[in-house]
Amino acid sequence: MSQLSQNTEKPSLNPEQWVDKYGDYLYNFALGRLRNSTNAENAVQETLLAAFQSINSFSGKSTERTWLIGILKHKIIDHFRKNYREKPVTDITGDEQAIDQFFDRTTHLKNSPKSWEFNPSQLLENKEFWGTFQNCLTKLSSNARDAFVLREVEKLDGKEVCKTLNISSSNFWVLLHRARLQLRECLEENWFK
Amino acid sequence: MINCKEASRLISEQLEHPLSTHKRILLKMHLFLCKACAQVAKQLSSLNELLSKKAKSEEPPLTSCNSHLSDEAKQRMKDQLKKNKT
Repeated sequence: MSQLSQNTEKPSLNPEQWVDKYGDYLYNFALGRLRNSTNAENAVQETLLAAFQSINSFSGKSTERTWLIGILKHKIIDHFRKNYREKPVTDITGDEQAIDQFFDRTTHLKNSPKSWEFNPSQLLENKEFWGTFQNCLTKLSSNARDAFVLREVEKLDGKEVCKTLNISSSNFWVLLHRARLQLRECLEENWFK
Repeated sequence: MINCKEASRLISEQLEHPLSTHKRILLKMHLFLCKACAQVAKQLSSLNELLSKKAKSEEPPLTSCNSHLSDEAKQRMKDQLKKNKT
């Protein structure tokens, strides 16, 4: 690491600037995952304080914003853990019924799926698509959504998701199954039509 | 022979871990005969891949809320940071 890039990428030692520079970005990141403005706000505040206390651990290998996001991800998982410990998942019948809704009496899919034609690298950059994706997620049950977000968006290990959400692996699989079927249908209706 | 609902469960399970030989054969047979489920399997694995790539990109997903921290919240955070500085 050259002296120059270290100088330019070291976080500003005036962390007051963090709030104005990154506050809203971190808040939207947290809100997109936690869905609760108070929790999201707290996660941002905890992140900035933790960052401030470990300012010496910033190596300059990533940007300041990426570094803060890394800390925020841990705080978000802490919030999930706390929320699900306080309010454990007791019943996933609703999610099991939701899965049934996608199939007719002969257990075939009600809506026959289409072929999704897309260019992956273009879709990755397409803000509109990710907006649609985020919208589709809001239509899931909160349990299915949280399971899917931790597993597929945050790419946590399955066991870690079960621990964080305080659920059994069989319930976790039901939630993922529901989430995937519903997202598939929603994306097909709203994007890949 | 498994039905479409069971097949979709195995498609989802397959994204989590390798299936047992028995389950894998059941799913393969079903997908061979059922175009709809084969399509679902394709869609779900491409969504999975897309999200893996997105997770590594500079712009993480789920940031399009366009919300703002309230001025009070911002002030509170600044005060907190100041307090910790001293």
